[in-house]
Amino acid sequence: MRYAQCAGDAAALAALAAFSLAVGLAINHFRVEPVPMPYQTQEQRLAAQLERLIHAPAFQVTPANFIGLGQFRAIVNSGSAVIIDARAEPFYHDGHVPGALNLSREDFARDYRRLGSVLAKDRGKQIVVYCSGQDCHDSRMVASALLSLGFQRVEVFTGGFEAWSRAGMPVSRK
Amino acid sequence: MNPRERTAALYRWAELAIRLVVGGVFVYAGAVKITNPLQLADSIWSFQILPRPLVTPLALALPPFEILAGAMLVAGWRVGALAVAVATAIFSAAFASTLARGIAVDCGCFGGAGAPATLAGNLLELARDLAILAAAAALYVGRLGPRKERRDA
Repeated sequence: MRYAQCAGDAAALAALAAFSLAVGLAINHFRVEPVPMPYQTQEQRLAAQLERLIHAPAFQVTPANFIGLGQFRAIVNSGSAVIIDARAEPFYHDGHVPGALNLSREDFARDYRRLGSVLAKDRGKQIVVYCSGQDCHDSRMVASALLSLGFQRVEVFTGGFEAWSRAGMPVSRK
Repeated sequence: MNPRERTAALYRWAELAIRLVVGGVFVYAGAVKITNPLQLADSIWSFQILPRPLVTPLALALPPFEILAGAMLVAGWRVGALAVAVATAIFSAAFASTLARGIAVDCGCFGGAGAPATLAGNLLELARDLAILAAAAALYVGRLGPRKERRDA
């Protein structure tokens, strides 16, 4: 009697395990970023990211990613996006758009290490990058790098800090 | 109420308490992990036991398993007690092996890269696993056999 019960329970347990695996696989299938199969270690994942960064095409950012001052102002005011200042650190400290994070083209690797966890927390979140002004390329390069790193919604405020401050908008210093 | 009845009532209450607490812990542990299987995979990998191809499947299957097993235990199904006992037995064995090898692992029991892994913390976690194992095993054994059915009837 007991033996039969135990055998039945063992079978039920096996069925439960199989069912759990099926549920887990199904959930993973519909995840935005499914867990890779087979497993990749943290080191491998970092290496893959760096690889992607190194081999990313240089100019992924197109005019479709550009936004003007009006739109940028609305985004900054709403606080819904991550604002990235792509200029070198001294310029950032001299004055930047309130709330902007400094991810400079010059020290991208160092800054990305510092900010990576903040940025990676919400990969789908809108990111807007700017640099000094109309003619600067830093914002485009940093935006390209972020696109290569898998961030989906990356935009460039082409007017840059020059257009922002010329419009009399608030400036943060630290 | 004679002493025998009192003992029986005490057993029933103890059983209910164990079911709610242990089952609840399992449901909770599964629920917090189900949203971040990659983190769980990292912690499974840190045990250095499973070969690479099995790490992701286990990380995907474990949270639903814990939720279902915990819910079944709360509901008072015998298989729930067995599932929780077997799972904690495996957790304990895996833990004990990391202690024996002197590697500090992040158990990932309740998700979260929380406190840094330490051997002392792992010992505490092993003790907790063994306590859960004892409780679940006692429940399972207690519910086996015709004696139980007769008593219920």
